[in-house]
Amino acid sequence: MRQRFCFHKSNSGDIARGRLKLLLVSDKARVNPGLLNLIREDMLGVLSRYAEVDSLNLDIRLVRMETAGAREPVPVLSATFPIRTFTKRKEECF
Amino acid sequence: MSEVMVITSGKGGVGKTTTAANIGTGLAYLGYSVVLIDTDIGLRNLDVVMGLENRIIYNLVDVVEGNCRIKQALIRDKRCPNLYLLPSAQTRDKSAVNPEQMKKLTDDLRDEFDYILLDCPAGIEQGFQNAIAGADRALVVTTPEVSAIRDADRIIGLLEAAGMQEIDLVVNRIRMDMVRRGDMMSVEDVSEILAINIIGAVPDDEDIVVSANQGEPLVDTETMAGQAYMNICRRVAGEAVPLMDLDPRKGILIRISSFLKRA
Repeated sequence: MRQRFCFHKSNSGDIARGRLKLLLVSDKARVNPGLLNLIREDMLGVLSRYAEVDSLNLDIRLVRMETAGAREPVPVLSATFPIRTFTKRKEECF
Repeated sequence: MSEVMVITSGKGGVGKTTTAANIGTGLAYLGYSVVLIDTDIGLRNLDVVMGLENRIIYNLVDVVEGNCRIKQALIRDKRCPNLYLLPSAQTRDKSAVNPEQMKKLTDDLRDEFDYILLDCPAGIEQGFQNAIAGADRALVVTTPEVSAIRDADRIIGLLEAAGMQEIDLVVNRIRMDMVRRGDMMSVEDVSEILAINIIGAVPDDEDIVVSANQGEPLVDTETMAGQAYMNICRRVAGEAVPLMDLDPRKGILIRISSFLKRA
């Protein structure tokens, strides 16, 4: 038999709220949530070529924003990649 | 020996998706290779109950329309390597798929999996017809309420008319304290009214809510509902497991007092 649950019971409402917020945004934007993960990994890969990224604190999300010319809010990809240091690129070493 | 099983109910909100998630996970714990298919196009939820919503790239409609291969759309479970989910599409409707396509899909999956479980949408319209098209057997989920049992009876009739070979009943959300007071129909009452094999009864357990919040099925945990679901899995797989006592009260004094009350 398995242990009861990994998390403490009283936290499960908070977990539910967090999951739900993410779900509703991706539902409204009509995008699969897994796609955001793919974009996140790809962007992280690109940025890592130039800088040391604090991957624990990075944030990528879809938000909805009013835009000139669009009748209703459009989905906007918002990403924050905290950078520890910019790594020196080879050509700059000379 | 692979088997296609549809989990259905007619009425919404009786616990189809929770039952599908727990039975799928439980069968995987028993060592079978299992795929869970969410057939509720437009209102997908099985991914959330399984806690796999953030891994969805492709879905059932993508597979049927040929936008991707089946393997690309299958999501491996977080803990069971022999359990997969084929999520539904959220931005389409039931008419995106027809029964022939569903039958072909489930038949294709027979080569890879021991159990193919279909989580059926509520209602008796096209979503239901799609879900039952390729199924060998059906689990009908009901609760001990007049409306749910009435709908279960209608569904059983439709399944029989469609030539379903094997139909079993899961009685969900039993509250033994209410049954004892005579304020809720018992499992036996439901069995007598519907005249169908009862494959298990699941108590109304607050752990189910916690498990759904976390996106982790509770089958096989040390909870009443977890044990009830595990017993159902064993029975689905053909083991003879006696129906468990859902009464959480164990003390001898309480048993005597309830015996005296009944007398």
